[in-house]
Amino acid sequence: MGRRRPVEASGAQRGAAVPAPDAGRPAARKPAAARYLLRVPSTEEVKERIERALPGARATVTDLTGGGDHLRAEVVYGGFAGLSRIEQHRLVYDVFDGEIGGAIHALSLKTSIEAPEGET
Amino acid sequence: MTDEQIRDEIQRAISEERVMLFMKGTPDMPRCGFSARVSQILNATGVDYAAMDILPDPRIRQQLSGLSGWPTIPQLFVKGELVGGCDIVTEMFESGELAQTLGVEQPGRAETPAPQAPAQAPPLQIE
Repeated sequence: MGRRRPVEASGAQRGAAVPAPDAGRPAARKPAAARYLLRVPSTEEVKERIERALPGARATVTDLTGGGDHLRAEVVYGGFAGLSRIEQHRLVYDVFDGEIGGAIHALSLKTSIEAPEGET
Repeated sequence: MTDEQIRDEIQRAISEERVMLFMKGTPDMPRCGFSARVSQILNATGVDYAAMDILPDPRIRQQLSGLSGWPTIPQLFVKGELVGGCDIVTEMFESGELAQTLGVEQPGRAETPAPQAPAQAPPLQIE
């Protein structure tokens, strides 16, 4: 938080920092332990997954605690029309089958069919 | 206790208790903010309800979510129907729908004397 982004290096400089694939010796292998089995998806990823699974939906995802595992999603989706709140929330939960309660400790939801007043 | 006995116990609670809350901890000692909020809301409505702590055995939660198709805790059931978790219960409480679902008066209205609710515009409100 508040950390300044590094100034973008030019393409040429960035390219130079990456060793060529056939640089003579084998590339160091990533240790197997670096695989995160319960990786916490980012707010951006959660937003994209909701919007991909529910075509036409718009999702706003925020991190409630800064820890990445208590997320809130506000989802506006025409397909919610005619569904009860429970059914609307289920549609969103189903996108993250098995991850809620796991990697995502909590996903707080607010669903609506139309954008709240004052928004477009 | 077998998985089946746990499931039967949950099923029994859902069908026999008119207002049934599954939560982390107990209403007196909730162990999660979301569970705490829902039990406080129920307390505020004055409704009689039963609560089950899901923490003592991880299978309680597994079986409950299997039955309800709902991944998170708390879960509130009224007359055998899943009403929702913390978000939905909070929204319904704020809109007055919850009192209707529970069959109670919305607190702060009707016969409740509404202690701090001013009858008309509050006197001298400075932004």
